[in-house]
Amino acid sequence: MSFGVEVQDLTVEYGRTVALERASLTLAPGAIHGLLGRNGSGKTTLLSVLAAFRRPSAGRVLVDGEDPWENPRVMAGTCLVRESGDVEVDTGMKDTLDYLERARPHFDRDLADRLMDTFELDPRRKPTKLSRGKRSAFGAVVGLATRAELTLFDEVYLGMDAPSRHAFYDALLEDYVEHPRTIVLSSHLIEEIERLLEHVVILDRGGVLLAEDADVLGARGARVTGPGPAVDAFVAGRRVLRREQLGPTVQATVDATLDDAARAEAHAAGLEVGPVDLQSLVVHLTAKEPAR
Amino acid sequence: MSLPTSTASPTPTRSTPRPATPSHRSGYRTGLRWLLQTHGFMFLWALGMLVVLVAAATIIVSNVTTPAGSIVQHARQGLTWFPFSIAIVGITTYTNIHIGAGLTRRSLGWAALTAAVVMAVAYAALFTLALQLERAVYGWTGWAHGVDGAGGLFTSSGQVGLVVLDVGLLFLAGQLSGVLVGIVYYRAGGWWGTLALPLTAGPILLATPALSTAALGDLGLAPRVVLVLLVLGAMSLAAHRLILGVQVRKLAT
Amino acid sequence: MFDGRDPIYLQIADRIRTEILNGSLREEEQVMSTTQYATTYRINPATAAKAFAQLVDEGVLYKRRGVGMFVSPEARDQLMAGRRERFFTDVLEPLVAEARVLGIPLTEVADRLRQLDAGSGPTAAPQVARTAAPEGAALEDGGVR
Repeated sequence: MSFGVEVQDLTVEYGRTVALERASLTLAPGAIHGLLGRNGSGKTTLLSVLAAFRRPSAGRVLVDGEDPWENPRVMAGTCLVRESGDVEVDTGMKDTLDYLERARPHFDRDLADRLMDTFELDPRRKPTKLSRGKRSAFGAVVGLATRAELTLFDEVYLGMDAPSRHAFYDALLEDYVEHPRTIVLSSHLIEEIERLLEHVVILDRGGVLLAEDADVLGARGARVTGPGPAVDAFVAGRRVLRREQLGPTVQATVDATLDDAARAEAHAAGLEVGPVDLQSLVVHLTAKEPAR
Repeated sequence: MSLPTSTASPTPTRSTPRPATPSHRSGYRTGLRWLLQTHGFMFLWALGMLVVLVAAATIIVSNVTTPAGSIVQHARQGLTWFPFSIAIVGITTYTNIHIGAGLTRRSLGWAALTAAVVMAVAYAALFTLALQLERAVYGWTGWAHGVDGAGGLFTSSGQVGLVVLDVGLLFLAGQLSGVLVGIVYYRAGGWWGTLALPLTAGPILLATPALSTAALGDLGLAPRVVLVLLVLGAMSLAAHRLILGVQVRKLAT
Repeated sequence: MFDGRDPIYLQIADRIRTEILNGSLREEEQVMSTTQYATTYRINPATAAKAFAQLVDEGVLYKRRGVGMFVSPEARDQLMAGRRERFFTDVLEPLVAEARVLGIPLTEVADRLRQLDAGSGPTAAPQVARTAAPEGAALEDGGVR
């Protein structure tokens, strides 16, 4: 079973700081979603509200159709792994696994033990004695083995080295295809997780900048290169995210999905059209320009 | 304060099968088990310390002079404040773990209150048992087993019922106060947590004179107990309400 | 197609088409399941499923209930026909345009083509089939990224 998510006009304030302001989004059940955005864009806050760690200041949040706050069923089916996870740090990791086996309805101990091996974690050791990367790996183990209907990973790979991260992606996909559930990955490492995602949400300054299928987003954006006047004529009327000039040559990054006709037009004008990867697209979209 | 039906009858902790339908009750069991494990471990420490210290003190005193008063009675303070500090650590550490494991605040609140009662009873039993053992030893050696009649409800170590009542209420005040101090520190941080100490730790100091025959004139036993119970009730209510609205703190990174 | 950045599912579909064309996937042969595909190439299973769905729509693959997906008997011929058609628009026309830009007379181009044809002969096709790389390698070096 998987939990879907519906968020309407969600506002979260910490004292005078507004972390989220009237954010609205929908996460389809059973899909892997990417939650992208810069530091302070509200990713952690959004996930904290979904996991009932925090209460919204205003707005409505529904997880599997119900308000998650103090909802035993929804909370039991939601697992938020914040960085290294909310686990006991001063006792052996085995104790934490024992605890979760009792606390979590679908916890898979065999999977947890296998993943402990994969990440070379000694269950007798305490998280405080581990490196940042190893603690993050333990968070990943907890998040995967909990097998929650809504699993939220908040920057879980911080400090993990590349082989561990790839081991995590492999383990995630492997377990996901066997036990489909709703998964949200928040990350800066967009390039690495891009192909894992079915749907992408980009937050910017406490609001939802865009929410789209990864496929659609992958085709979005184009880098047009050629003689200055020709480029400028072509991009006129399109949203230019960035313009760079090198002598007579101009490269413009536009936020547009170019169809075949547009591409043919560009080609005819002697322009080269290149792709914009998701990482650059996010960087450009969330750059200094005012979001509101 | 109405008890939720799901936790109406506190169940003893045992290895529970995993809940088929997650409820407040299953969270209550899990939370109570964690808290009792942590407290239980420290209880064994307290037991060990008590035995060693009382034995050592008895030997030293009996070598210098003839003991005329109970040594165990002085553990009344230690056994109030030591579990108090464990209760602070327990609730501040466990809140993240409990909610992070997808368990509700309501179940955490009831688990914390139940653990407080269980531990107060356990420490009261420990104290009473130690006092009676000491009394037996004194009786055997012929020493006088005197107690400081002004400090508590009992004026003789032989008044087992009054001893249990006295330390039971006092230790419970310590437990509840620990939970209160802990949750306020957790919610409001160091500054406000410290400023709120008169309110959160104060109730212990409120319960102490009510239990002391030296204070409040010749107030009868029943009014004193009722007074303390009122304080304890208010503390429980406050602790539960504070836990119910807790927002999980950001991780310090 | 002016760049290599089609949605991933299109690239996957193309990869499978190519494998059928070069013979590394034969008619009536079972293809990897979407979940196998997803875990092997570390992509979202929904993305892989989309590619397979497209190929089923085109009649290149067909489903056997509860068993999996297979290459259609007529897949290769069908793909060949399609590619042949596109050969002229996608390959030949740009070639002619480029030759014009460079001032190469078309007769010279035609001569070179005849030479090439005489040199390699008709054995080319089976050779491709025999040296076809295993599926994994084919995608690894490909442009799915």
